[in-house]
Amino acid sequence: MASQAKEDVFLHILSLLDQYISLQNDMKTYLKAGYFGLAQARYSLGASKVGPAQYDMNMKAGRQVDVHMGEPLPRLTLKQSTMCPSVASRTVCLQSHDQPSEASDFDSQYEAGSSAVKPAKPAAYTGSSLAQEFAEKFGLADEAPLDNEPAESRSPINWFGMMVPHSLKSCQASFEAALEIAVKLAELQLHMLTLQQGSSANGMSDSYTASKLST
Amino acid sequence: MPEEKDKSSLLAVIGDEDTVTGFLLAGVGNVDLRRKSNFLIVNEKTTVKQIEDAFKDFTNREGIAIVMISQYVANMIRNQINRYTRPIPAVLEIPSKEHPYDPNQDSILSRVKGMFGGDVTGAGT
Repeated sequence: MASQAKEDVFLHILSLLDQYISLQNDMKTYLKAGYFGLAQARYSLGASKVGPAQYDMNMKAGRQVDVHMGEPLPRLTLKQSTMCPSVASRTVCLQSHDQPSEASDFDSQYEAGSSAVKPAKPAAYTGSSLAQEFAEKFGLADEAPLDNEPAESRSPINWFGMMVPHSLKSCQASFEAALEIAVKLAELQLHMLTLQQGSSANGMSDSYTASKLST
Repeated sequence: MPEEKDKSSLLAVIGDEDTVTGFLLAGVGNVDLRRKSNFLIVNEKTTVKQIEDAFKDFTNREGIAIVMISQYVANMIRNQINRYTRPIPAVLEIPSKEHPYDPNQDSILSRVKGMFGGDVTGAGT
């Protein structure tokens, strides 16, 4: 019975490894599309118009990761921050964030474009209390409150101008898709390491090695 | 055992200009009140020490769950990555424009493949 459980863990890790490599291939595809879009955008706007010089140095993350470590296997969920929503997410079909992370559900979870998620209306931006104290202390309280600023203007794509070429929007969509995959990959990684540590504690890897040597 | 509190965390990026620009467009970029960012652009002028310092900073900083690093950059600090064993933040090696992803170089997969005693891609038996 114990050996059956160990074999199940071993097969599960093999399955996760297979999915990991498959997702890496998918990421490669999305990144390639993203790099191409970026190159096209540079061609349209000029090479110096799409780069670090345009970064907003007060940027706030529009995408964050929820970490759930308390379950048997850890879970990572990508979520849209209310601080800086991405405009491109309105046009890109994203996966629901409530799906279970079972290995058997990966193929269905992973079909990009199969479901559209309407982005939630962003909450009024109040910033952290620390940021507000900072603003008041240094006389920045007269600045227009950020909750009056439309969500679209806070999107990173607007760093490069108000009228950006379609190639840049396409690039953004590709990288957003790559980001979704990255979170899945990180979750798979955690699963593999968790299972591996559990099996090592039970001496599984030693018995596997011993069985290989005896054949 | 009480369940760990769920929390939202950032993703950090270490890679070339195109990779960082792309992921910043996707919304991962963050600069905090102390002007500390969660990304590092690696170019020909970036030293290995700067990359090591950035990796150390991102993996020790509170509030970062995933560190994405282009694999060719990871190869420059491979020893440091091999020594890193914590589950969070997860270190994810990604392909870049000119350097495709090689699973045999991935430190995390190398640790897992030790169970199988062979090539990650199955080429070796």
